Amino acid sequence: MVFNTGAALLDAIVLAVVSKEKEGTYGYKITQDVRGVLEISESTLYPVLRRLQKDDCLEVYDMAFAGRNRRYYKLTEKGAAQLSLYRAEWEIYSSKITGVLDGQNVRADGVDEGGIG
Amino acid sequence: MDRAQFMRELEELLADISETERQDALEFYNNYFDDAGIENEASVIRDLGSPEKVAAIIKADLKDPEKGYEYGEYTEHGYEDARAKETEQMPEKYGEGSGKEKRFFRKGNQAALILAVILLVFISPFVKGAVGGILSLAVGILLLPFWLIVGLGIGAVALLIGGFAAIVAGIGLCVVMTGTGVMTIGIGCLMIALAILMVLGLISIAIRIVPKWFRKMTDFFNRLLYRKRGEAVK
Repeated sequence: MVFNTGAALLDAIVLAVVSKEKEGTYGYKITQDVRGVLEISESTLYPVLRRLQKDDCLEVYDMAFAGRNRRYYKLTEKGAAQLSLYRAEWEIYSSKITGVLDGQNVRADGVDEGGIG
Repeated sequence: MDRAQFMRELEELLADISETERQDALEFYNNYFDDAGIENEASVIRDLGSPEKVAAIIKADLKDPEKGYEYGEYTEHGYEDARAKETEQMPEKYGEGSGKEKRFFRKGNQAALILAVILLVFISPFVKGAVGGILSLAVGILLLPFWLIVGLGIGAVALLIGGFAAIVAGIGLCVVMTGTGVMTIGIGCLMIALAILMVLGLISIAIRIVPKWFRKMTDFFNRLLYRKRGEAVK
């Protein structure tokens, strides 16, 4: 991928991935899901999850699985609010970028500049 | 490197963060290996990179979670953060701090140099007695502008006070002996004028000479400290 993913966008993607599982999901699966859309190293996800957990966007609980404890992540109310904020922001951002890249010569104030001459 | 070795190294590398943070991270990666399964162990280790890299990322985020948003970037090469160089991540001992104290005498540490200069000023009389001769002379010459400024400053203040006292005394004397009184006032005025001249001289020294002198001193100590460091490294 030629474009870099900022921390906020990665947060948004992780929140979206976690939100798909109502009962919560675990670190390995989150990483694989994120890697499905983004080429990132597996080592990147832990700090993101930890930070989202500290910011009360994610809650953590342990559940027995195959004879051991597995840590699950679940969206909190704050996390859900944050995700909808990210969704709205992404809508605005991505449509602007798409507009420019598609060659509609649009200025920031929305006035069509037209071509040269 | 297998999973056990990876986890052991990671634990060592995280020795200088808090117990809760360390346990949380280790638990996460233990979980991660469990979920990946033995068949994926090698590929997980390969993708995680080195324990150093994993530790660097964890610490970079702990150090400054707010700034992490500004400095860190997730690129196609993974998380990239100019602040977290992998080589700096290995703590020398368990439970050691972030190693800030070691950086005390690094190049460009003005505070350390200023401290050294102040210390020299204070110990210079003792040095004179103990070592005597050349060293104290060198220190004396080095600190000449400093003494000049102090001397001029004290002189100016003394002259100013004396001048005003003379004027006041002269006004009093005028009533009794007019001639002597006027002369005393005149002397007072001269003293004040001299004080003003000294202050002006002092300012010109402070502006012109001191920065130059200070730069030379800084260079000197820098070289001294840097050479020492260089030798220590070898």
